[in-house]
Amino acid sequence: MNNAPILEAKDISKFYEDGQVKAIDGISLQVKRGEILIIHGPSGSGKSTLMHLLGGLDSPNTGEVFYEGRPIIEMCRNRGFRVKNLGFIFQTFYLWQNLNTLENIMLPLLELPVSQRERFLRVKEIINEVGLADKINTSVKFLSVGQRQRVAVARALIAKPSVILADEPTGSLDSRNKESVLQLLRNINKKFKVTIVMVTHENTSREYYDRHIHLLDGKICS
Amino acid sequence: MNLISIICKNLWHQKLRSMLTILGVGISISAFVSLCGLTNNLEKALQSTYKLRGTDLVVMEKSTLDIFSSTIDQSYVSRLKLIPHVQQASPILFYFYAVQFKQYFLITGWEPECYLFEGLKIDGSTLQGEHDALLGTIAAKRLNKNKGDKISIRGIEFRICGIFQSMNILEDGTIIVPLDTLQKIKNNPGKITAINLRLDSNDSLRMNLKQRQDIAREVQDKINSEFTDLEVKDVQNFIATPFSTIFSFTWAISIVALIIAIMGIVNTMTTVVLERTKEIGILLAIGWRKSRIIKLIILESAIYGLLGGIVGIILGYAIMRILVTLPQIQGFIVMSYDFSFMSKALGLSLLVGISAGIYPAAKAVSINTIEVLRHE
Repeated sequence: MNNAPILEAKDISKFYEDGQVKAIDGISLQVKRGEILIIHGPSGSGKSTLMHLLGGLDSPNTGEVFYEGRPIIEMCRNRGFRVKNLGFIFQTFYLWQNLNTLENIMLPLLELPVSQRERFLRVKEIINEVGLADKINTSVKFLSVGQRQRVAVARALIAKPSVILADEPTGSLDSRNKESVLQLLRNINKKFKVTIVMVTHENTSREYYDRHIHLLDGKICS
Repeated sequence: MNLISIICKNLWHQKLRSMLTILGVGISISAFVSLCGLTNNLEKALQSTYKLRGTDLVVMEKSTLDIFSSTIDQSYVSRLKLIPHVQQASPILFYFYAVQFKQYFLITGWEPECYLFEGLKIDGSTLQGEHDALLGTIAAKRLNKNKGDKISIRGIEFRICGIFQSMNILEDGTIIVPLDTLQKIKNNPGKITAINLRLDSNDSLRMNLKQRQDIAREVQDKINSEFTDLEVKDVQNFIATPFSTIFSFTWAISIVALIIAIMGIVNTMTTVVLERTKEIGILLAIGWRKSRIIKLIILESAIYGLLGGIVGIILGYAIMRILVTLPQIQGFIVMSYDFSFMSKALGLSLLVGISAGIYPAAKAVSINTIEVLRHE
């Protein structure tokens, strides 16, 4: 197995308001291939900013983030890189209300040269995994919050990325749905060997992650 | 699933807004269709009438904007007949007069034996007496008159000797009276509006188009060099000249209508982009390229334009159909379905839609993904 980190942050910092606010302050971090890493911390600790930097959505003021040893910002300029390699899950799901479950899951695939048949096969495989096979043609407007987050998980997984970055994926869910989504992420991690970086402010049961770091005031404190 | 199906769902999701936008675009396009369509039809109908009748050249007063401003001396007719290749020369006189003191008609004065009658199907007899009048079918319908009835033009009573049907609807709205009589009514003896020339090349089937054009050019050159106060035009040019002014006006009005259509779509699409800021931000976050977002917005806008265009063409032709039935203008407007013009209108609507999508698309790709995510 390749022991090189899939994602690596080297001494990254992110400032806002002309350097007055330090969201991330000199963080170095390695994400191992196939692990579930939890970035835990209170509100305002910089965990979402760190996730954006790790996903190449934002660039650090100092330092650099690498994907498989190459600068992620440069990699993101390549067509289809982010769709193929990085999946994103957000607290409020961000689904297209006009579209149904199938169409929401399929959205990332429109960016890739994948045939319509291949798209359907992939959706069929993933939708069974997230347990929404009976809701495939249901408008997401009519799904429960737990089901919506499962659609978001399927959307993140559809292009078979190496890494899924999840920002508070259980933040909008009740305790029952929370456990269910965490279990789903763990299953996906094991079955598809996908690396998961999950940002949360809540305590998460040990069985759902491999490693955990604690963030406070933009610095890793444990 | 593809971009089109996403767009269709978006339009369906906001049915009322989509319908109002399409209707707004449709009304603007219908203004273009009805205005330009009528002028277009009118020009084509006039050209076909002249061509079918065998008129090759029209001689009128030099430097006049249109035929109605032209006045020339009738003595030119005999002189023009002497020019080689001129087979026939028919003087004509035009005036707009109120008939029966109420409705206005185009009254044309023709010589009773001229070749222009060849293209008319007359129910009754041709012009025989000084106060005989031939009514086009539409003119007869407007006046509710039949052959044998009387009409009054500027206080002079005419006997309707026949009802004619011409090769075009425009002419069917006119009244033909003897040239001498119309000159007397106008108190302008010996003056005419123009002279229609039929060349001998017109009858020869052996001549190809180029040979015919060469002969027409030869005659034109001859007239232009010998008669300095006359202007001779081929039928196409003769009709196109006044229409270029009309076209300028109709285009000016149409451009205003098209700008309104563009602004309508820009307004809707900008609202759409603002409403979907989060969704667009997420599409960018999951890796959609900006070019795909631009494509999505411009395609949606183009569909508004296209659907608006279809509605506009239907509305435009409906307006034209209503206009041709109005008694005030019946006979002056020609109704015909021109598929080439319809496809041009549809193309223009598509262009309206695409250009209207540029600003909202630029706004969509300027969405800052991080800002969207930070406001989660």
